[in-house]
Amino acid sequence: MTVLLESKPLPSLKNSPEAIHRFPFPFRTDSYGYSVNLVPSGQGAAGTYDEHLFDIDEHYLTEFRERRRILCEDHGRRYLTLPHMMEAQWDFLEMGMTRLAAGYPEHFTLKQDGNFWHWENRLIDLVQNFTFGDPATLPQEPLEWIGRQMQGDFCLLDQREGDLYLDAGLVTFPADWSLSFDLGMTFEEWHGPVPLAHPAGVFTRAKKFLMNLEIDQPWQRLNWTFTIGPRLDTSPEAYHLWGRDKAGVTADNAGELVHLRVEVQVLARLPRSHGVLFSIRTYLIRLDELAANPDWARRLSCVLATLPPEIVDYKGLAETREAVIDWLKQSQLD
Amino acid sequence: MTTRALQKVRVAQIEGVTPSVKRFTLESAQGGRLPSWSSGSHIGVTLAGTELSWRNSYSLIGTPGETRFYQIAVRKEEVSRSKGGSRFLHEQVQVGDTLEISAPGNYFPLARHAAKHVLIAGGIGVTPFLAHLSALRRSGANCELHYAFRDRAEGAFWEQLCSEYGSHTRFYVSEEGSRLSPAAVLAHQPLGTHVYVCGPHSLISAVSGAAAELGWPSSHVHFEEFAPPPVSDSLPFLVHLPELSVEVKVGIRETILEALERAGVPIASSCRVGQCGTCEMHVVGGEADHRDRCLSEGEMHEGKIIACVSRCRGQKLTLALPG
Repeated sequence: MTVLLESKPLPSLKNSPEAIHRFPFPFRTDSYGYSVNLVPSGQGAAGTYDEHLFDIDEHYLTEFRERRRILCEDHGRRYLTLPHMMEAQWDFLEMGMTRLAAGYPEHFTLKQDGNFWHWENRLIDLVQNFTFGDPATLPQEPLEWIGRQMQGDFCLLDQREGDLYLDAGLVTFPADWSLSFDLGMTFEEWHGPVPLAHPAGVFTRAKKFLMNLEIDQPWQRLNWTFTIGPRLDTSPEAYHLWGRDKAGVTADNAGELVHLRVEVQVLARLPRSHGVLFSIRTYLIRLDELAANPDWARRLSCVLATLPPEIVDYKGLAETREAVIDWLKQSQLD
Repeated sequence: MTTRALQKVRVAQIEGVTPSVKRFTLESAQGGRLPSWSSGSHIGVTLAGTELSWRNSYSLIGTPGETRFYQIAVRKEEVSRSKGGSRFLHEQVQVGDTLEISAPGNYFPLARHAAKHVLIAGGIGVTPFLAHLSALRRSGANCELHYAFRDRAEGAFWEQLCSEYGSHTRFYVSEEGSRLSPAAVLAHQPLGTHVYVCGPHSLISAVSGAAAELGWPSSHVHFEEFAPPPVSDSLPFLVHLPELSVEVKVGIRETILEALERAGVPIASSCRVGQCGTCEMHVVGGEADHRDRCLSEGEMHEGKIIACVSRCRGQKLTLALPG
């Protein structure tokens, strides 16, 4: 088994006032339950997290370096792809490059001459010429190579025989799930542990929805949990490094330790392979950053107070929920 | 049917393939590239005649991923209103004309992991296989095409397929007494083979029947009928909600969901294109005209209906709010 030598929280993930302002706060009401909460993606107002399909923000370099470190230590469990997914990998590379170049021309440039492509990423001083469709012309496979240059985790799903299979992924920042465990699973299988939603038919509906995704019409949903410390890698593979952190949370220190972790999950049709892209972009906000917005603090404490016990357990909130509620209430009094 | 993205294309070229089949080459009217696509995809083509308009689906032919232009092959059908669009394309559309098309969709994709792919075409049902064969050759997959048509003059693309794919093709010309036997084609295929059928309904049921008899899993049998044209003619009707004593008219250009929202009835909805099932309601009276892509046949029989796209066959639909 690979040992992660270094997995420190990342102090540079502290949010600027602008990042706090554009944080994807996930609660639209004072209570929370599972639903197929899908909305069109990449159509938000200028400056919001949803202006572009693939958001690039002030944490780009922090995430880039953190991913490089994780892949260096644990590549075999964080980047996995089955052989029939190569077409989908090129699909993803094309979607990533064209979206980034169109959305952030100051950072990225893409020039295409037939299958001869020229790519520039000025955020990391990278220039690459390659032949689209020929993996030998890239330093890594297409999914890993372009995925490392984007923020978030990326899963490619194969659509066949009336189901969706998780057959490729670059997953370094998961909220307590494992790509190497889930690889090759069907949609319902990898959602197996989620409570309450199966009887409600949420996954049956969601799967049908995904299998009907149209080209150029991406959708998104938000998911959330708590993370202790500014830590992106909360994988089972690194549990020995982060699992114990929850025990130290109190109503006094929750504001500095506890982060609301929000995933913007994008679902898009991959046009060349008829596969589906499932991307998971993680945003972390410290409770005391979040409490700068009193409406958010009040709503979050209402949501936590009324959360069904099954969801509290599944999201791993049991140890910290009371402390967080108490801290939020105190912050509203101050 | 759904609100797939639409765009204008210019007819760049029209070629006769056989006396009754023409190939149309379409380029973006604004210039630039068209969306990428996978083999088995179709586009919806809107054809606006002087009195009637049609929205027909045609398979994309040629090399998957070709985005400088799209090509479709259209057989001219003689009668029937639903096929009027093909006559319009043959008789009215000229090079340089502008047409409106939908982004490609795919209800007939390849199963990439199959040990072998057996493609069975009847008549103009050969069109999706032109792209499939191109994709299969590129990936080096094991495949064969069985193509049945009436006579050599009317069999579209058979000479091209014969020269490009040679020993991977077999042709059955009915006028010459050569018949395709689905059971014979399927009988000795290796385990893990997938079969794809496109053609008239009779061919599809013959192949599905033979596959079932030979014990093939249904997940290994894929078919597409001549792409049924989505119903684009919509008549107004009434929706009645006894629970709320609401009766509202659903106009030609609105949906049940929109009409109810207009009347102040809040219905939870999400995608609003018939995919997610959030706006599900229950039919209490009247006959539903289902246009969604999320309900199973069983659910339709139970009386479920998707309010954002489905309509009524008749004058009036009585509905109940969900659970």
